[in-house]
Order: sequence, then structure tokens, then C-alpha cells
Amino acid sequence: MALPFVLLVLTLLLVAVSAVAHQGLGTLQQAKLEEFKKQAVLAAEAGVADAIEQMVDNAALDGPVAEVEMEIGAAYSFVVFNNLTGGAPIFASNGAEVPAGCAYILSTGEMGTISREVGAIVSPGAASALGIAIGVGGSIDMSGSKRVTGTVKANGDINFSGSTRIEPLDGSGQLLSSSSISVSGSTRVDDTQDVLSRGGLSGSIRGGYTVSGSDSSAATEPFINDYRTVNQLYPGEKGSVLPNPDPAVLLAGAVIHTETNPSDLVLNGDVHFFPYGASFSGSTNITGPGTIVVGGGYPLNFSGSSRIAEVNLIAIRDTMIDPVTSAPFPTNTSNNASISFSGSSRITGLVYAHDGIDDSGSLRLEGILIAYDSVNGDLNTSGSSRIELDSTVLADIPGFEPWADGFGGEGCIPAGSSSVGVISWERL
Amino acid sequence: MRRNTRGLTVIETMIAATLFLTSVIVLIGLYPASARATRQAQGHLMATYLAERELEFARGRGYDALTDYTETYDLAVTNNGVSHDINFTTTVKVIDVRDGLKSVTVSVDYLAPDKFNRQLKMETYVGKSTPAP
Repeated sequence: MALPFVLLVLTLLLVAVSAVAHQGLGTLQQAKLEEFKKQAVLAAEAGVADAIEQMVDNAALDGPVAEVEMEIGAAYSFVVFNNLTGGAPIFASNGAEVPAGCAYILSTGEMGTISREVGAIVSPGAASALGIAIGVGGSIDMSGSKRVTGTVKANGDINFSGSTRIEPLDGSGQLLSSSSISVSGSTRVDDTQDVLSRGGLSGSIRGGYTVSGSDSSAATEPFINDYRTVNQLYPGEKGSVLPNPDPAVLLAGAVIHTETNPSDLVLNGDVHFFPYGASFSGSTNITGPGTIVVGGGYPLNFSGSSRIAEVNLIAIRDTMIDPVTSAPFPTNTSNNASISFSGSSRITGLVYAHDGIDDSGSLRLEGILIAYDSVNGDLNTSGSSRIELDSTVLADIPGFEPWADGFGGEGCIPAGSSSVGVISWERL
Repeated sequence: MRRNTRGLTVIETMIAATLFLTSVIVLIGLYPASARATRQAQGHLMATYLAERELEFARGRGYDALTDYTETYDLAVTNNGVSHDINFTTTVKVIDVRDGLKSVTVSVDYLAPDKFNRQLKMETYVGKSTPAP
């Protein structure tokens, strides 16, 4: 009777012994594996850096390049899929689309038995456009359920409550604050993307490649938002310039509307300027392409169900002069050029306000959202939000052309130079 | 003849007790080694994090501002409620690979919980045209 009991006890003890031994050794092996994984990514990124510099010297570089051994034992190799002179998109070996005028660098880093890949799309003379879906000069407070595809960056604090998902698109999908980040509720960031802030980070975030509340890298350098209308850094400046259109360029040839409660609109590709603001209520259809601008401190409001296709919504402040007649507009200089949504809104285009953007309804945006000002340029949402980056929207708006290739800045290549700029950078 | 089953059970029980005690002693002996390995792993993970952090800082500074430097960090590692301070020294070394491309190597030296000096190295390249990813 006792023998089976002895064998059972013995088996259980062996299991316990091996579990204890495995816990310590397994954790150590995991730590070593983590080091190798990160080094493999760093080696792959070294390969991209090497490829870019080779392309600066030789823009025709194409095909595989032999493996390069690094000093610490890691290695990288890369393949260039060069479509700089092509007329149609080509596809890299991993299926990535390489647009005409661009090259795709697929770099593989190896450390021990671990390998990792990084892909980058580059183009001569392009500004780096590590795409920003939400760029805010003030703070971000989003309390509803939200899903953002692309990078979210603010000069001020970022507060997320409720469910949050930030998804990557062409290497863009970071959560960045020059101040602090605070999250509550379920927050998920892709494993390849960073969550970085300079002034602290609180709450639990799932995923993230580097998660740090004490960052000082270029990624969290504050946006420059001093109302300059050029995408250019001055000596000693760092960071990137938040887009700000020249009002004279934006409003040149604009269709002027003096009514403040417009109904459905067909924009016919024009800029439509509402100098006294505009309030759309009820079910609204605005058909683009085109741009709606409010100014002089008056807001742009949508309180009903709105379908706004291929339309840019822009609220600028202190626009006092009629660009057509040179007559002054109402002299309301309050910093109140805001945009608010309180119903269900579906938009494709740019949503841009010098001051705040508020949404208490359900906002679906495919484009870019920018709240500009450091003090009043806040983004507040309390409903369900779905924002998906489409960086091409900046290309078609008068006054925004300097930013069409990205929010320039440190590490970026000024347009028109003979060097190579990075359009996207993705840890695969 | 009648078998004495009670005697056999006593012997079996003694064998069981011996095996049990032996296994417990082995288990107790393994536990500190396992805990030490866990602390060692925590030190290794922290060193990996510091190396990666220094490389991100280096990239953030940009190609032209890359330079050699050394930093020290005193960080606490907690295992099963017991805290151990570990002193980490990070050394960043920059070497020209060729024109427009520099190698940045971070060495992290620390006295591991097992009292051995350990070193971890990570490396990447920064190009003149490389943005901070």
C-alpha cells in the first residue's frame, strides 16, 4: 500500500524540484534572449543607417548587400528595392509596396540564433514623415473608447481613460509626450512602437517596444508651434515644426460665406471661408473635395450627424482681413477658433484648429488631426473615436504644402536637397 | 503461513520518509540557487534596458553630437520582497565606420548579485542622415 504512495510523493517532489530549478534558469535564459532580440533589432537598424548612407553616395544602389559583421558579434545584411526611377509601384520580397520615386530597404539583423527585420522607405529630398495622426500643441484628454492608427504626440500631458488602442501604419504608431503620459483602462500599443514621455508615465500599458517616462530623445522634443508659416528650423532649434498655414495663401480665392448656420454644401474643390464661424446642426452632408475655414476667433461646430467626405476643416484665429476685398472681418480676437463635434461625424481629411478640438459624440476621421496652440490647443474627446492616419491630406491644402512631405525637423532632410530622407521606418 | 504485512509497511514508510527528506533537502538546496539566478536575470534585464536607453539617447543627439561618455546608475532590484542595490556603469564609445556612418557601442558593467563582475554590450550604427526612429 505504501509503495504507490511513495512513488506518488517522489514524483510530486521531482516536479517541484524541477519547477524551482527551471524558474531561476528559465528567467536567466529569458533575460539573455531579450538581450539578443534587442541587439538583433539594433543590428537591423544599423543596416538601414548603412544603406541610407550608401544611397546618399549612390542613389542607384539596388539588390542585396553582403553581410556586415559588427564589433560585438552581431551582423546585418540588407536588400534595397530601388524604385526611384520607376513609373509604377513595385513590391519588396516581404510584400511591402514601394511607390514610384522611392526605395525600400529591408534590413535583417542577427545576434546568435535570433534575427529581426527593419524596413524603411526612403526617397531623395524627402522630409522624414514618421507619420503623426494626432499632433497637439497643448494636452490630450481622451476618455472614451478610442483607436488610433498612427503616432499620437503632444507637447503637453496625455491622459487616456477608457479603452485605447494605438496601431502602427508604415512604422508610425508611437505614443509621445514632451510632458507626461497617464493611462487608465485598457491601453494597448503595438510591440514595435515606443511609448515615451519626458515628465513621467503612469498606468499600465500593454505592448510597446521602449516604454519610458524619462525620455530625452528627439522623438519627444516638443513641436515648434510659434505660428511660423515655414517648415524650417532655425539655428539651435530641435524638434519638428507643427504645420501652420499662411492665411494669405490659405484664403486666396476663397469662397466667402457670411451665414453662420449653413446646411449641406458642395465644395467643388474650393476653400470656403466662414469669417463669422459656422454651426452645422442636424444631419449634414458636405461633399468634397474642398476645405472649410473659420477665422477671426469664431468656432466651427457640428452638432448632428455629419458625413464629410474629402473635406478639410480648419479653424484659424486672428484672421482679420478679407483676402478678396481687404476689408476687415469682425474684430473678435479671442483665441476661440476651435472645432467641436457632438454628434456622429465621419470625416476624411484634415481637422485643424489653432485652439482646441472637442468631440463628445462619435468621431471617425481618416486623415490628420492637429490642435496647434500651446495654451489652448487641446484635444478633448469623451465619446468613441476612430482616427486613422492619412498623411497625404496635407498635400492638397493651400498653405500646408511645406508640410506635405512630413513635419520636418531634426533628423529630417530638407526638401530639395540631394540627400536621402526617410519616409517610413518600421520594426517588422 | 500468514504474511506479516504490517512490518513491510513500516519499512516502506521509512523508505518513503527517507526519500521525502532527501528530496526536501535537495529542494531547499536548489531554492537559493534558483533565487540567485532570478536576481541575476533581473540584473541582466536592467543592464539590457540601460544599454538600449543609452543607444536611444545617442541617436536622439544626432550624428554630429555623438561623443564618448560614461554614466553611473544605482538601481534597486527586488526579488521576493528583498531589495538589492546594483551599481551600473554605462560607457558609450563612438567609432567612425566610414564617412557619414558611426558605430555606437554601449558597455554596461555591474556587480551582479552573485558577486561576479558582469558586462553587457550592445551596438548600433548612426548615419548622418538617420532620423531617430
